[in-house]
Amino acid sequence: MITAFDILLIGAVILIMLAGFAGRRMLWRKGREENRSGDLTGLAGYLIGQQLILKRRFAGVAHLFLFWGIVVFLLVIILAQFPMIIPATAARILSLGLEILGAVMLAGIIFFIIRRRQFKYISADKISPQKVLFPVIILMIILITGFLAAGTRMSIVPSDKLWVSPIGWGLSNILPGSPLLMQIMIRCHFLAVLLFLACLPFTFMRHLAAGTLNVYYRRKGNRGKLRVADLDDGYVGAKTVDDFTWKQLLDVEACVSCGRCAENCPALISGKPLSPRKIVQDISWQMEQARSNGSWLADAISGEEIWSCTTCMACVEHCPIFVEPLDKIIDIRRYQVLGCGNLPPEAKPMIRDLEIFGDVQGKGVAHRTDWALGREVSLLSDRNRATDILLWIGCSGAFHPRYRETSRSMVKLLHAGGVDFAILGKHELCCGDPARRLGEERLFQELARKNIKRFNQYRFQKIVTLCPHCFNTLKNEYPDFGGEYQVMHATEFVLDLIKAKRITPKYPVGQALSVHDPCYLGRINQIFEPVRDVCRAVPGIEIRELPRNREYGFCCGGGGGRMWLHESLGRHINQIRAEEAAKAGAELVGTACPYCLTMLEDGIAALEREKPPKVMDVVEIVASSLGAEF
Amino acid sequence: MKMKIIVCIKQIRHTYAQTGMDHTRHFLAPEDDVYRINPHDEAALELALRVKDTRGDTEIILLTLGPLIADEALRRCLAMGADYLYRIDCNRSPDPWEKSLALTRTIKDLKADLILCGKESIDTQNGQVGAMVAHDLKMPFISAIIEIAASRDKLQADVKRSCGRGVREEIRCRLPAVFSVDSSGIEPRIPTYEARVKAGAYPIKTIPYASNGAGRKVISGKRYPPRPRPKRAPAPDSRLDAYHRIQHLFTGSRVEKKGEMLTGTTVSQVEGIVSFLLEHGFVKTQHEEK
Repeated sequence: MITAFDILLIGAVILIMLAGFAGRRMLWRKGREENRSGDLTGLAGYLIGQQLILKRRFAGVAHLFLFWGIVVFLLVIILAQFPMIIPATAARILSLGLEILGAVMLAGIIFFIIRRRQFKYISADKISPQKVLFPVIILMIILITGFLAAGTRMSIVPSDKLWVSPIGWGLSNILPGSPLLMQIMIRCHFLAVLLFLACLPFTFMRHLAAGTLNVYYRRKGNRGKLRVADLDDGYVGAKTVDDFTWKQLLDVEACVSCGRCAENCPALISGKPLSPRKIVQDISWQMEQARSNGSWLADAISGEEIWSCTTCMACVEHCPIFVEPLDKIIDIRRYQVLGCGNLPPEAKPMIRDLEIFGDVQGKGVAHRTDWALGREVSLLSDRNRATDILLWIGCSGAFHPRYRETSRSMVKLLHAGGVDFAILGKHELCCGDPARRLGEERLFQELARKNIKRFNQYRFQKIVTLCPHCFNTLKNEYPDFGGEYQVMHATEFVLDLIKAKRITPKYPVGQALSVHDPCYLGRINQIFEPVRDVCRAVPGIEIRELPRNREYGFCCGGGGGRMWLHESLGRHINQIRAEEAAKAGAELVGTACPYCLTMLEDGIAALEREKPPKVMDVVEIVASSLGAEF
Repeated sequence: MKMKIIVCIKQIRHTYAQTGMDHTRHFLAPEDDVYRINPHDEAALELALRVKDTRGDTEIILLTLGPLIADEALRRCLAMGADYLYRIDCNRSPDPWEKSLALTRTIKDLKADLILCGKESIDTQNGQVGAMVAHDLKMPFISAIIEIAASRDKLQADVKRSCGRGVREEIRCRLPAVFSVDSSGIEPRIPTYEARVKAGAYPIKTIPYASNGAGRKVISGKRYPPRPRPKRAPAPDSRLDAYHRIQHLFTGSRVEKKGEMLTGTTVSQVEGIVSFLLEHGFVKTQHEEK
C-alpha cells in the first residue's frame, strides 16, 4: 500500500511540521523568564471533557467532535500500519463508528465555516483572524475525499453488510465503479492529510500544540493577582514584545481569535476602541513581524485602547484556553506610566493624592476616622490585646460620602453581632489597587509595604474588608510582599453572622431585588452566592436575577482606575448596566462594592426614570433590616 | 545658546487638618501634616520643563532653602526633569526678606536667564519672595503667570498672566527676568521610574548660608503662632471629664474677630497699614534701627 516515496513524503512533512513548531517555539520562548509549573492531570481533564469550550453550546460540541475525530482517526491510521487481527464484528462496528464520526466531523467543520463567515464583529473588533479558513477547508477536503474513496470502493466491490458503511453505500449508488477514481481519491486524501500536518505550525491550527501547552502551564489558584513588576531589576512594563514573559507570549501564540473575550468585554460592548482579542492579535503580529526591528507595542496599540480597560476580567474568565489579555494590558499600562510618565490627565491628581495623602480622595489620613464620629469604633492602636476582626474600611468607606453610610451600617452589624473588632484608623493607607490597575506599580508597592508593616505591628485574627478591590489586593496580592493574612469580604462575614444566628434580619426592606455582582468579588474571587444568601436572609426579599449575572456579570465601569477617568468614547458602561437593572423591574439593586454602588447610582440617575430602583450595598440592606435598636 | 532657568522651590509642612486633642499644640496631631513641595513651585518647575521641551538646549536648576524636610518630594521634582538641585543651608526659619537675600546671592553666583518661583507658598502665604528677588537682582517681575514662551536669543519672553476671576493678560518681557507662577491649570508631570531612581541617588549640594541681616530696610519683629482655627466640635470626647470637655469647647469654639476696616484710596490704606505696624512695634524704620 505505502510506497517508499510515500514514506519519504511523510517523513518530509513531519520534518516541516517539527521545524515549524520549533520556529514558533523560538518566537515565544524568547520572552523573559518566569517560573511556571505544569499540571498534567488538569490538562488531561481539560482535553477529555473540554468543559470550558462547551460553555458555548454549538461551537463547543462541534469542537469536541473535531478534536476527538482527529485523535481517533490518527490513532486508527497509526495502528492500521501494524499487522493485527481483529474479529470481523469488531472491525465492522469500528468501521461504522468511524463513518459516523467522520460524518459528525464534517458537519462540525461546515458549521464552523458558516459560523466564521457569518461572524458579526462588534465595532472596534474589526481585526480579521488570520489564516483560519485554510486549514479548516483542508480538513473538509480530507473528509470529503475519504468518503468519496469509500464510496467508489463500495461501488467496485459491493458488500452485503451495508450497515457497516451507510454513507459509503449511499455514495456508491451515484459514483462510477472506476478504480482510477478510487486511486485519485485516495491520493487526494493522503496528500490533504499531509498538507494539513505540514500547515499546522503556520496557521491558527498551531493551537493544537500551543493551546495544549498553555492549558498545561495555566495559572493555578487565585486569578486576581497581577504579576509583580520587579522594579529593582529594571523592569518597568512592556515597551516591546520582548518585555513579556514567555508565558505571556505563549498565551498570544495559543490564541485562536475565537472572540469570546471580545463578546464579554464591557469596554467593547459600550463602543470603546478596546478589544482584548485585538490586543492579543496585535501582540501576536508584533511577535512575528517586529522582533527584528524592535518596534514598540504602542505603535500598534493606542492609548485609548489600554486606558479603556476596566480590568473586570471578563476576557480572562471567558477564554477557553486560559489566555489572559488583562495582564498584557496592565504591562503596557505600566510602561506608559513608569517608563514614559504618561497617565491620563484625569488620573494624575488621584495618583498625586495617593502619593501625598495616601488615599484616593486626597483627604489625608488625619480624616480617616471622621466617618465614625460619635460611633463606638475602637482603634487597633488603642488595644493591648489581640483582636478578632480588623475591619478594613478602605478609602471609599472612609471618605466617599455615600459609602460612609455602608461603613456605618457595617459597624452597626458588627455591634449587633457582638463582634470584637477594631479599625486601623489613621494608620490605614490605600491598599494600592487603583494605582496598580493604572500601571503605577511603584506607588502600589510602596503602599503595600507600608500597610504590611502596619499589619505586622498588631495582633488580629482576620481582616474583613468592605471593598472587593481591597479584598482582592489584601488577599491575593499582599502575599507577594510578605503579608499573608486571613482576609474575608464583608458579605461573607455577615453571612457567617447570620448563619450563626448572631444577627437576625427582622424587618422587610423591599420585595424584589436584583444582584449586581462586583467583578472583583464574583468573577475574580468566585464569591457569588454569599451576596445572594445574605439578601435571602432578609424577610420578604425575592431575588430577581439580571440577565447577565454571576460569571457573566457586566462590569459597572469603575474598576481598573476607570472610576477616575472620563468616559468620552462610546456609551457609558454604567448606564448600560443601569438600564439592565431598571428593566429587570426590581425596586432594589444589591451590590457589594463602593465603585459599583457609585457607578450604578449615577447610571440610574442618568436614566431619569420615574421610579428608579434604589442601589444599596447588601451590608446596608441587612443593617436596615435589623431595625433601630442597635 | 544654552538657556539657564532657576526654579526656586519651597519645602513646606502642609497642615491640612486639626484632629489633635491637645489644645496646647493647637489641636494638631502628627498625622495632620504632610511634607511636600509647594504646589505653585511645582507648577513653576512644570513651566520651566515646558520651556525645555520646546526649545531643547536648556538647563534647569532647582534652588531650595532651609532644612531638608521633604527630601523625597525634592527628589521627585528633580526626577521630573530638572538638571541640578542646590539647597541653601539655613536652620532658622527666615522671613521673606532674609530668604530673598539668600536666594539673590545664590542666583547671582549661578547666573540665570530666567528665574521662576511659585506665586506664594501655601503655608505662610507671603507671596513676596519672588518680587523681592526681582528687586534685589534689578530684574523685571511678573506675578502669577500661567504660560510662558521664552527665547534666549531674542532675550524676551511672552507670558500669559492670570489676573484672577478668569481674566488673562498677555505680557512681553525682556530677559533676564523673574516670574512667579500660579498653579491653576498647570498639571505637573509624572516622573518616570528611571528618573526617580537617578534622582534618588543624586547628591544634593548644600550652599552654606550666613546672614547677619545687614543691608535690610525692613526688619520683622515678633511672629505669632497661628491662632487655633474656629473648630466645630459637635461632640467633645465623652471619655473626658466635664472640666476638660468644657475646656475643649472653649478653646475650640469660634473667636470673635477684632479689627478695623481701612477705607479710602490705595495710598491712604497703605499709609494706614504702615502707621499701624509702626505704632504697635511690628516693624521699625531704618532710622529707629540705627
